[in-house]
Parts: sequence; C-alpha cells; structure tokens
Amino acid sequence: MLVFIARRLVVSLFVLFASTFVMFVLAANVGDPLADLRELPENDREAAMAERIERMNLDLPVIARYFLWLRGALTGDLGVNRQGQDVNILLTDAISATMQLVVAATVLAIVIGIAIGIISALRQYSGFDHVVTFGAFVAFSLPIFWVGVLLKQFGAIEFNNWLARPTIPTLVIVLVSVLVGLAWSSLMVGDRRTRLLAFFGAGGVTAVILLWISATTWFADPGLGPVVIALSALGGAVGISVLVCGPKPSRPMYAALTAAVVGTVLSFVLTPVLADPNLLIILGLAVTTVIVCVGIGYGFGGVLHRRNAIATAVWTGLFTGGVIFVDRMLQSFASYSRSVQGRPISTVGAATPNYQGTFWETSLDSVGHLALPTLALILVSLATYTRYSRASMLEVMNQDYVRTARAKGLPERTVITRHAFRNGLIPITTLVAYDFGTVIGGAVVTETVFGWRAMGHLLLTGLNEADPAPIMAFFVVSGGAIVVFNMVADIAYAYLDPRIRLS
Amino acid sequence: MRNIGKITKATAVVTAGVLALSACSSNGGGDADATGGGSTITLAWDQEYDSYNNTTAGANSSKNAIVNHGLTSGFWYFGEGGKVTPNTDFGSYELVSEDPQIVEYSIHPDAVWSDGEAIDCADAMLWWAQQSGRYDFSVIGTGGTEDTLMPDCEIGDKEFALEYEKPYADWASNGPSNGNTTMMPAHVVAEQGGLTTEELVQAIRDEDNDALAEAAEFFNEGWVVSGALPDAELIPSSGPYKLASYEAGQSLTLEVNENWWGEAPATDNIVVRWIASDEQTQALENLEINIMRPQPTVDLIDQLDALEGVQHEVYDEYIYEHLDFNFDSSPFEEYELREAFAHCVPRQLIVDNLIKPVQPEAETMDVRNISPFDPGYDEAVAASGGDEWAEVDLDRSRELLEELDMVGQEVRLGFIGGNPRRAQTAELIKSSCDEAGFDVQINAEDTFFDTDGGLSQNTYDVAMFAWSGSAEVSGWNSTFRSPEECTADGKGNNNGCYSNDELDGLLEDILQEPDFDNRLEIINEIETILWDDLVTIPLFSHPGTAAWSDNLGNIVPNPAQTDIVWNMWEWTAQ
Repeated sequence: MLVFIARRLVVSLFVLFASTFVMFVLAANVGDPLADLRELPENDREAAMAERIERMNLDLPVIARYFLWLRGALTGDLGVNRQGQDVNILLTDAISATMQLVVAATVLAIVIGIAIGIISALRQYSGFDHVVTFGAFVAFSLPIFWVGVLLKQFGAIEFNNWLARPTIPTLVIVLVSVLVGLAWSSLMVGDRRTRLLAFFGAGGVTAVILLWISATTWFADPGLGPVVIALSALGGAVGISVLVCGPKPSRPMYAALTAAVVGTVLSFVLTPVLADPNLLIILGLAVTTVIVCVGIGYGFGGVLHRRNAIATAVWTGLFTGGVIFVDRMLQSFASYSRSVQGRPISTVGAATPNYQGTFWETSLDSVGHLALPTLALILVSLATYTRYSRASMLEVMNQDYVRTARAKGLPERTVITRHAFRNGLIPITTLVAYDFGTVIGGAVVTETVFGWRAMGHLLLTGLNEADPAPIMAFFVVSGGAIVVFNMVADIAYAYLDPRIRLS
Repeated sequence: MRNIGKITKATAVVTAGVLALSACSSNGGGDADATGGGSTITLAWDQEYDSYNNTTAGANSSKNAIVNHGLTSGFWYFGEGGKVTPNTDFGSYELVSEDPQIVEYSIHPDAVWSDGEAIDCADAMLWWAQQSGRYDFSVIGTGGTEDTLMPDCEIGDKEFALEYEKPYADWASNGPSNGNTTMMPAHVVAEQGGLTTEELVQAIRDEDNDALAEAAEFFNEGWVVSGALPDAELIPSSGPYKLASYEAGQSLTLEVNENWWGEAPATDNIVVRWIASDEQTQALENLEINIMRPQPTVDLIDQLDALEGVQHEVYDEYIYEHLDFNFDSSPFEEYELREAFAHCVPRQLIVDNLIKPVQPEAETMDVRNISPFDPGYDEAVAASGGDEWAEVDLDRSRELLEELDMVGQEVRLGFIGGNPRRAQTAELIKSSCDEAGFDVQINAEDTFFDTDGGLSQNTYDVAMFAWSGSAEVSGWNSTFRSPEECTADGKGNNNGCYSNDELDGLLEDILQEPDFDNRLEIINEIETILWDDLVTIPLFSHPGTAAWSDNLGNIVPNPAQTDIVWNMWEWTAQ
C-alpha cells in the first residue's frame, strides 16, 4: 500500500511539473499583454509599455520566462502580476474567499444530496422518488448564471421588499400545505388510510404554522421562543434515538431526552453569555456540550448500551445547541435588518463593508451574503449526489447479504443503517473527494454573478489580461488539489472497502 | 402507464410550486423604503483599486483614479463638464509672463499632508522631477513639463514657478493636479529611498539618478496595493479624504481627512465596492450600492427606467467613434473615392439606430476636436461644414464611382472584434455603401490594435475605432501630423499616414497659442482642412450612463477622466 501511494505521488508530481510548462506556454500566448496600452494616447503609450515589458519580462522568450517563473515558484515566490501586485498575497486572498464560498455549499450539497438520494432509493418509484428525480434533472440542467440572477431577483430583492410587510397570502398557504402533505403521504408505507392520515396531518400542521407566521408577521422579528426550542430538542432526541436503536423506550433514548432537557434549561441559564459571545466562546460551548453529553450517556447507558447512549446523547446535545444557535441568530434578525436598511439578503459581495455589530449580527451579515450563492451552488450540484447515492443504495439493497440480513429477522431499520447504508456510501467517497478537489478551482460563474473575487476571478483576470503569473498560481493550486484529492479518494476507497485493501 | 401518470402528477405539483413562488413574490412586492446610507455613500466599480500612486505609467487607470481623486488635490482639476478648473483650496497659479512663458504657483499656506507634514517646494521638486521624464521615476507622459526649466525653490517654500522653453498652450492644465498628475509626498519617498528630504531635493537638483535609485524604486513599485493597503504612514493624503480601510476583492473605504484645510466634505465615508458591471443594477435595486457607472445599453436603460427610487442620466463622454482612411496603401488615396465613401456612410442612420435608443437627443458628431458639449462646437461645425455629411447621397456616391470607373471597388473596413455596437455600425455602413456601388469587406479582428494587427500594419482601407478626447489641445495634436515614416513604430497616432504641410503648421501653432479664443479659431481652420480633404469621418460621441439612488444629492456626471467622482466631496445623502 505504501509503495502504491509513493509511486502515485511521484508520478503525479511529474505530471504536474510537465503540465506547468505546457500551461505556462499556453498562458503566455493567450493574448497580447499590451493590448490595452495600445489604445492609450501616443505620448503616454511608450512609457506604459516599457514599464509592463520590464515587469513581465516580455523581452525574453517564453521558455526563459518559464524558467524564471519556475525558479521563483520552487522557492515559494509566485511572482507579481502585470500591475506589480504580489501573486502570493492575491492567491491567499483568493483561496480564503473560495473556501468561504464553496465549503459550506459543498458540505450541504453532499449531506442533503445523499440524504435525499437514499430516501428516494428506499421509496423507489414512489411519488417522492419521481419528484426528486425530476427536480434533480431540472436543477442539473439549469445554467447557474441564470439561476443566480433569478435568485437575486426573487430571493433577495423581492424577499427584502416582502419583509417590509411579511404576511403570507392564503393561496400560498394552501399550496404549500398541500405540497408538504403530498410529500409526507408519498413517503409513508402502508394502506390508503395511513397515507391520507399523513397527508392531512402534515398538511394541517404546515397550514397552522404558516397561518401563525403570517398573522404574527413573524418574519419581521423572528425567533423560536422557549416552547419551540424545547419541543425541537425533545423531538430531535426521539428522532436520533429511533434512528440509532429503534422506537422502543430504551436507555439511549433516556440519555438523549436528558441531554435535550439539560440543553434547553442551559439555554436560559446562559443568556448573559449568549448575548454577545465570540467564536471562541461558541466553540468552547460546543466542546463542553460534547463532554457533558458523553457523561450523560455514560451514566445512563449501563454496560450494555453505553456506546449507543453516548452517541445519541452527543448528537442530541449538538442538535439542541444548533437549535439554540439558530434561535439567537433569529432574535438578532430585526436589529440586523434595521442596520442594513431593511435589506438583510444581499445580492453581491462577502460582507457589508465596514459592518459592525454583535457576534450574532455579523454572523447574520455573513449568512445574508452567503445565502444566495450557497443556494445556487447547492441547486446545481445536488443532482449528482442524489443520483449517485440513489443508484449506489439501490445496488446495495439488492445484494445477497442484505437479503440474508432480512432473512435472519433483523428489523428493517437495522438492515438499512447497519448493512446497506454504510456500504452504499463507499462509491460516493470517491465522488466527494474528487469534488472537493475541483471545487478549490473555484466556482467561476457563481463568483462573478455574486460579486466575489476568488480563485475563478484570479484565473479570469489572468486570461483576460494575458498575464501568466496569476494563471499559474491558479493552476498550481487547483491542479495540485485535484492530484491530492484523487489520491485521497483512492486511499479512502482502499481503506473503506476491505475487498480492495486485502486483495 | 402507472409511471406516466405519476410523472404528470409530479409535473403539476412542481408547476404549482413555481406559481406559488411567483404569487408570493408579486403579492409581497411592497416598497421597502430606505432611509439612505446616513453619512456613507457606496459607489460600485468594475475593476479593483491597485495603487495609491496613479501618476506612474502602469497604474494610470480609472480604477485608481476614482479613488485617488479624493485623496489628493492640486492647483486644478477637471471640473463641471470636464473643464479645467482652478482649485483655490489648494493654492493659486497665474501666467506672469508670456515670453518667456512663466507660470507662478503658490501653495495654500495651511496645506499639509494628512500626517501633518507641510506641502511645499520639496513635493513640487519631486513632482517636476517625475513629470520632466529625466529621472527614473515612472511617468505617464512628459508633454509640456519636459520643456520647462527646473523650479528654483527651497524646502519650506510655498511658491515655485515653471518656465517654459517654448510656449505651451495647455499651461493651465500642466501644473500639479489631483489624481494622475498630482504631487506625491516627497518626505515619504525620501525616507523610503534612504534619504533625508534635503538629500532628495539635492539629488534632483544634481540630476543624480544613482542617489535616487532606491527612491525611484519605491516611487514606482512601493505604493502598489497587493492584498492590503501599504502602511498608513506611507499613504498620507493631500485631499479631503484619506484611505481608511481596504478589503481585498471586496471594497475600499475613504474617510474624512481631519487635516484637510479646505471645506470639509459633505459625506463622512465613501465606499467603493468592486462588482462586475452586469451585477450592479440588482445591487443598486437592493440598496447595496448607491451609485453605478455602467456602459449604456438599451436593456440596461429599460431596467433602470423600471427601478423605483433610482435616477439615471445618459450623457456624452470625451470619446468619439470615427472612420480613418488609409493614405498609405489603399485606393482611398484618391480624394474622389473618399468623397464617394463619405457620401454613402449613413452617419445619421447610425446615430438614429444605435445611439438614440439609449440617448434620445443624440446627434452626429460633426467635428473631431471639440466635443459637442464644449464651447465652440457649433461654430466649428458651421465653419468646417461638417453637418453637410450627416445624410447619405447614394446617387452622388455612385456617380463618383462611375466617373472613377471603380463601381464594385472592394474596400476593407477594419475594426476590433468583440464589440457589438461597432459590428452593427459596420453592418449599416456596408449595406448603405454596397448599395452605392462599393464592395465593403467587414474585417473584424481581435488583434486589430496589436503591433502585428490591422491598424499598425495598415492592412485596412478604412478603419473604425474611437479616440478619447479632452479639452486640451495637446491631446489630439499628433493624430493629424505628418508622420516621420509610415511604419508601425513611426506613424504614432496618425495611423493612416495622412500628410499635409499646411495642417502641420496649424497644429504647431495651436500647441503654442495660449489664448483660448485664438485656439478656437485655429481649430476651425484645422477642421475645415480635415473635412475638405476628408481625412477622417467622425461618427458620434460615445454615450455614458450613471445611475444613483434618488436620496443622494450633487451627483453630476462628467465627461472627463475623473468621471462621476469629480465632485465626490460635495455628494450628500439624506
């Protein structure tokens, strides 16, 4: 295995090395780096050209320029662009912007995509499955620049306008409730009566919530309140323990419920701390939550259920923490909205320039700026994940060992979570690793539409200005990332799949 | 069948969802009226700021100019309507002698850099050293200043004089200004160059480039912004604003310079956000920016018209589109053929079809060297008879072609590719001139402006491109002068290699004519020759647009390089 990795690494390095040469020659010939200067008035033209020729070494042949670049690059100096800006610094800024923009979107797309894919595999050929398939293909074929512009119009401008008087028209309430009802009823296994019950139950609850939101103009000054926090925490506890160890009351479930109750109570006790914390405090609270929940799980679990009890307690604790976090953000929404002239969702940029506020307000500022680009990226990349995980899950579900597991009388929940789900994820690991590699190369169009200047912008400007230094910086990082993550994918695959590891 | 039924159902559900979404948005569309940015005004710009020193050749670009305009000040600036306007806050200057031509400058006694250092002779010496082009300081162009004597003043002096070796018509706009001809802080350059201010000034007096090497290195490269602003002590301000903060790829903030001795600016903070031009309209609608300066298109104007709470204006810029004949290697050396072509170019139709949709009051541009909004334009048109060429006369055009026996003559219309409006203009010219009997070949080249491209190599018969103009006569002087030799390097701006001794004399005269009215007289003579001989055919001046939230005050578009920001210190927000 080690030899295999080493060999891959060496070969990849040579490939990368050779491709920098090809890339440099291409980049140096992509256009005329002096084009813009030729249109200057005659008196100004010469000096400007001379300056740029000197800075970009245009008087040397391309090969010589490549080796000059390589000498710098090997010592960690990627040179200057044609304006004399330090490319190392430009690259650092670009990478950090790209990370902010794409990491959340990629993680969310993976989690949501896999979840939807697996559910639609478990309910193959149901209404839900068809809708998901249809939706995935629609989203997959949407051009992102168009999605971006539409999102900006409806998700930002119109939404912000609507926030001034946030009531929901009756027609919308009816339609949304029907949709939610349909979704739930198609997920239910059972006879017509169960489905009808699910339809009316889910639809009715949705309608009531929407009516309440509309009547209280909840969106003008949102928040969850103690009741909703407590209900969500307890609901989460039950849900998580059902997933982990089934619907019967058991020690892990008690642990989870205890964690939920402790979390809810603490949310009131900690009010002064939560008024204006910083990131460190939040992370500290998360760590404390984990430690406390491990303790709860340890105490409740007994010898037999200790592992499951600790897992359910920790997940429930973190979930409760998440609910409290969201509640705090929502409580600050009204004041944040006021501070940005009632327009909390932004169409461009990474932050409101010079914005100052509490931790919650600055977080909302980031969320307001990230919401639309993240949504756009999720929409278009969701399809791949749903389709892949659906196919992979279906394949696993038809394997002999799954039938064996069912035959020996295991409950369906155990068959799915223990036997099918884990193995179904193996092929997706490759996809995820590869995706992370390409994502660093940036989301060029998304960046442009939403006014971010990240990796894609670095490349585009370099191409437009026929300036090799930024192009090469982009290439080294994105090419390197693809090489590394491809290898990570291979290694992960070998690690996860014993058939490969042991062969 | 079962599946099809389900799919139909699914489609219906999705459609209902879309309907719900649109219903939600249209019903909800109220007016979220803004209270304005308080004392902050945000301007969107396409390209990112990258140098505090835009007086160097490489950094001379509007992305830097619009910011540095507020950071610097000088004896004059391009004021309302692009006119050269003395800035009495900074000081005063006057022509004290015409022969020899001497201009005396006097800096305001209270003038200081934002770090407290006085603005004085040392800064003026550095400015002169750079503008004269005799040192290693990078400079945009040396026109005017290269023919002046070194100012004779001592550090601490607030007065200095520029003496011209030969008279220079644009003396009023040749002294230190703000933006790309401003005075840079000599004390900062000296310190970064390892010198005292005294040593710096002495080295300039001695023309000692070796002693200035480090200083010049810093001057040319040290103010480039990569990732973060240079240290605060390196970037003092001589204008009403100073640099407050910078977020790479996102925005830049200007705040009031509390050491500014003139009238305090009306708005505390000016923020510049870098946003691709296509994305600016929605940002303006969502109140993320307050001012935008996009290229006008019909779609954009329609969008702006539909926005509430937004004002916009379309106006002439100092840029004009024109046709240049090739006098070196094309059939257009023949005057009659040029005349035939001039008769078939549909100048009025081009304006009607391509410019009027965005600027309803647009007209053809009938002379080259005075912009339609500048004084003297109408007189120049009347004197030169340029307005007679607006409408086509296809009969006359065909008659001339027949007399020449050149019906079906192939002519290559060269221009740079990738510009839709120019391509449409070319199509209009082609359809009209083909009807008259020409065979117009449309040569859109992506490399038209390159050294090996069409314009330099004269592989066109008639070229179409734009010149950026200005109110200064030195700006366009070389365009019509006989070239030394007709090669890519030798012909300068006179791409078609037109040569006329009488015109050369007039061009030399105007460059040395200090009196404005006399200059206008000479321009009339020049334009008459240019029309009589059909050297070039001007088409239209380019329209520019600006749009801003209507709670802002004193936003006045400007045709000059200083653009919309020319009076940024007067901007107000309610």
